[in-house]
Amino acid sequence: MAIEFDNNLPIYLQVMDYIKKQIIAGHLKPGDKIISVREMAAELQINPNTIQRTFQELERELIVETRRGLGRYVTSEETKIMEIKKDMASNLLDHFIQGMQELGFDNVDIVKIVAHAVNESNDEQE
Amino acid sequence: MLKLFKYNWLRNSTIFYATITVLLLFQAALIIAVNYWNAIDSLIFAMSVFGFTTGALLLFIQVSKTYSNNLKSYNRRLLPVSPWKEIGALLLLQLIYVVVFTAILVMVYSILLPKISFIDMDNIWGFFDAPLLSIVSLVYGLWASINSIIFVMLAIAIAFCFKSRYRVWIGIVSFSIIIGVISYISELLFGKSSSAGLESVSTSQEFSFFVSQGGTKWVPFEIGFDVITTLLAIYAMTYLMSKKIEL
Amino acid sequence: MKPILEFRDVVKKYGAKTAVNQVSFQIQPGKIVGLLGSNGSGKSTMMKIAAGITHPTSGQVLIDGIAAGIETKVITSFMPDSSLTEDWMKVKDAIAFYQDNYADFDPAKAKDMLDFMKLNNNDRVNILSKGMKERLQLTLTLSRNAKLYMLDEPIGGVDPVARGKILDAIVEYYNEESSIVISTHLLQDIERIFDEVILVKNGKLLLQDEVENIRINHKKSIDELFKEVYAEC
Repeated sequence: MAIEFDNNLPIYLQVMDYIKKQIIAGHLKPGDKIISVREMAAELQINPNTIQRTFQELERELIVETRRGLGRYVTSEETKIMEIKKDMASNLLDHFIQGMQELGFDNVDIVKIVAHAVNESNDEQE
Repeated sequence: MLKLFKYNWLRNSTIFYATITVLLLFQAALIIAVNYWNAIDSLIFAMSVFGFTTGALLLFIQVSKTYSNNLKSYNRRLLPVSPWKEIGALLLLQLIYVVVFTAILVMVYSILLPKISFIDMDNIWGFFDAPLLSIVSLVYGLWASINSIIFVMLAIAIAFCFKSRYRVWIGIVSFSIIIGVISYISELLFGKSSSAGLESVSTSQEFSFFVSQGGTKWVPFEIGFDVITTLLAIYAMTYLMSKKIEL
Repeated sequence: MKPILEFRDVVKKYGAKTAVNQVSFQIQPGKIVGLLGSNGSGKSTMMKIAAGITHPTSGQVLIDGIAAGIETKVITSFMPDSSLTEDWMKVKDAIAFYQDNYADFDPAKAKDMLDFMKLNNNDRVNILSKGMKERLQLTLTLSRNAKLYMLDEPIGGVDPVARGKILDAIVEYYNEESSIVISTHLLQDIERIFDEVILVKNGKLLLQDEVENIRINHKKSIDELFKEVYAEC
């Protein structure tokens, strides 16, 4: 299973994003054990040192913690997870708004378009 | 070295068994022809000699080809072994081939030769009655066959130092020059003596017991000379293999 | 830390042609390094020198601190662009050859890899397809517990499935005490496996850097960088 990574951007950041998304989406629950560096490297076909760096960064951001002798675990702090969610959403929003503005839409239009699009996607899901 | 020998052997095993089988069948057919069909014995003898010569040549060529392959294939060149072992493993192959071949030859001729009218068996049995002589001749025959392959290998090693298309010719020329020079020096030192010259080189496998007896005064020196030239050749080969031959 | 591979002012000339021109670098243990360059850039020659089968005209090559030669062949596992097997061999003969001649060969690893690569012991080597042959070569090379592995163009001319398996095997068998040097010019699939890359052109070393640094500083992939550097080749 090799996920598409953009070779133009630092891979370790992309792996971090990937893991954060897994956490937010609930595939990795708070307190879950994370697979080892080796396993992840093999799964994603990425250099193990890159994965190591990713984990180190995630630890620095307190998203992941190392328990001596046991391995690496997702933080159990729900607030931290909410924080990640908000950060990622805000990143997405910033990019979206900027993109829409570049297309020439003004802020009122943007809100209308978003509301409309969300309604449509609700209809499709029902 | 034995591990290298194992793979030298396996590489050639099919051809070796095939050659030996065909040779045996051929010689057996000739024996039957002379015994039961009253074939012309001089013709049979000639064919037998031809058969053995061809077989000997084939095996000699296989050993040379194996050396050639070992010099240029990656799986051999990457091995952490000194050139001595590589050379030793090939000489061992040659030795085994020669021993088997000689055994077959002796076996066949002990049955065939008595049937050949123009061969005086008393001479031959007389030869075997002097066990020291026959043993020495056997050893000399083995030595000569090892010797000859060493010089061929040296010529091959020299050829592989060059990367041009003409390196086969370089090998042939080197071989001729080396043999020529050694024969010349040998004659200069010891005079024309038939017991230790390299003229018997090419057919030594077959005529291991047809060595004629020359004067015995110079023999130890001639043997020494042979040994020295052979050792020099081997040393030259190891030098070329470690320093000069590159993939 | 003692470098696993070190080149000191290495020069290699073939007659008038200089294949390797004053190249110096170090590779630390635990790294997967890409040795990049177009054809004729000198990278194959460099690998052969490190493997001990070609000798530099001048300069020194050290593997784990030892000068390249018979002693370093014991700790170096090289996969050249050509065949590592003889035509008469079956897969099991090729494995036996390695097992008999290299003390660090790991038969369990080999068996695992043969299964993983879907190779059969009784297959004749000369009827294997190119991709299968490549998988076998890799199996032989990586089943040794060497300090330095060198792979010369392991994924060239190989189908995507085999390519994926080869990359998987490389990552799988990585360990912190040894290093892997891979020479290639096909970068898209492989660049995320590299820690560092070394770029050579016309026998000279152009660049040695960590790949993530290149992505951060130059804002481009290694593939892009390669195309720029070797545009006129």
